[in-house]
Amino acid sequence: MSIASEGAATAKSGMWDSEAVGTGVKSRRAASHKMVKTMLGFIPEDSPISYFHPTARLISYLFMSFLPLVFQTPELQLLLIAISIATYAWAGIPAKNLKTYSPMMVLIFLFIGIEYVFFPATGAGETPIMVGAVALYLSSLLRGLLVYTRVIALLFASIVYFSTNRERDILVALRTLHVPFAVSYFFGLVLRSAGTFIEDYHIVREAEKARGLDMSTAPFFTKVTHFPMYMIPLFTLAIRRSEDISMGLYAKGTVLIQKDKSKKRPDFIRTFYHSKPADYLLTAAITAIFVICWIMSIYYGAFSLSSSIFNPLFGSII
Amino acid sequence: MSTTSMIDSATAKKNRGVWKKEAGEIRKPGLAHFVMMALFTGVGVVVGTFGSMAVSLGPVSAFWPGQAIQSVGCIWYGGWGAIAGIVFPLISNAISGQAALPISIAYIPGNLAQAVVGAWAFHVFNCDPRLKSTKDWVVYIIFGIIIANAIGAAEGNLVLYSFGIITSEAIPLSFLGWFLGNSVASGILGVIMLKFLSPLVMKTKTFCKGVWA
Repeated sequence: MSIASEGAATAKSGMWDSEAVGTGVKSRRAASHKMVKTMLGFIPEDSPISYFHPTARLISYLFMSFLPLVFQTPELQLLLIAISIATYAWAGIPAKNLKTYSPMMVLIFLFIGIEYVFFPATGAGETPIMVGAVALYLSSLLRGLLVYTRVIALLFASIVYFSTNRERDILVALRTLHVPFAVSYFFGLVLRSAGTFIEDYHIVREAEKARGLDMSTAPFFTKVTHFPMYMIPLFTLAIRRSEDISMGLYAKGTVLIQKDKSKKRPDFIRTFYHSKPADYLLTAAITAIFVICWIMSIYYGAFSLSSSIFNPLFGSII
Repeated sequence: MSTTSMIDSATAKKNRGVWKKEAGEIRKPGLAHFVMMALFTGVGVVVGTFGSMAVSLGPVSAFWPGQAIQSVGCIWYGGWGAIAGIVFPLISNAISGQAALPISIAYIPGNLAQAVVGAWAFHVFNCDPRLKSTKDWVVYIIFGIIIANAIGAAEGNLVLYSFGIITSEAIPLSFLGWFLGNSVASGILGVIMLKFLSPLVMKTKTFCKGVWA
């Protein structure tokens, strides 16, 4: 296999770094241990989730983002959380990566806990349980549990999607769904510029250190007032970059809105992705589950809080 | 009339040219505006994500400097900045785990208000984005920070209430925390951006005197 054809094969498998294209045999040997950068970390190159087309993954994410709103029972929210965690582990991402989000989960728990204890949403005629000077309303605690599990289920859907997808996957999904070129190109530029902005930020920090400025030892207030000052060099770089990009696009004759619709835009990146029966199956299954649950919830009152298995544990107050 | 107010009034008269097109000047929206909007959205994603992760009160936005990006972006880039101000919170909220997609979508009206109120006031009161006169400062503080964040906090709390994340009894406290925290964060960042970056931005062709160009 020539280096060029190996490069094409590597690109097909979803790994695009020039290092992989150039190193030939070495990259082949290391392929089984290669990790691919995603929006929120790294995923094994041969992750089973890569088997699915990016469009199927995006559609699954969208439905998983709205499904928690259909359910009014904490147990179903916990089930969705379990599905998300299982997907995360199945994708081959180390579970320890979830630790990054644990402070956020704890904060949300504390926030909602305090909210529903000190500002309770009570049922009519409900008698509180007194714990010292604090009056605890069981219905309020049950609602708090529902809200907390729902928020976490919603967040896990986002975490799983952005941990298992790259910028390119999102673009391929948008283009496959025939989202207008201007919109998909805009998202591509946004995601790319966020990355370069962070790179520029690190360069500025390194330049600070090289000049002997150590912000890690600075008092908190100095850090707070110093942070906005980074915007000056960073934004100057962003303006310069935007002019370079727009000049480049102009030179290439790029038009955002094509007047002649008969001419098809070349879409090189999509040629590496092909939908398989499993993609259609996944999309159909998750769409059907969402529609059925939504209809049952709206028209038949299913998945209500009063039918929750947690309701008897909280004294069947709802 | 005091010397200071005379200087202010003279500056204000001179500033009328900031938003006014020169005789024969043609300004058209183009590729450069589109690219700048995308890059500005990217900047917003990073600032919004860092801000959410650094100081967070769970789902409540406690010290979010992203509002400065929204307000200043709309002052500089008009409608392009407003679009950026709507889009970047959707992405940064998802990445930082601050809010889920449906909640972020529900925040759109508040984010739009946070972006456009300051820009609208700058145009109406003929203010200079470089914050040269007292009037520029006052208009930015009142409209770009206080009113914009008040609308954002009100809408945000309404969204949290409608999703059941906060109870009706907690709204006043949550509103106050959201409003004060965001006002301070966006005030510091916004003033620095306007004061130091406006002279640079106003020289570029992407600066919008009108809505789109």
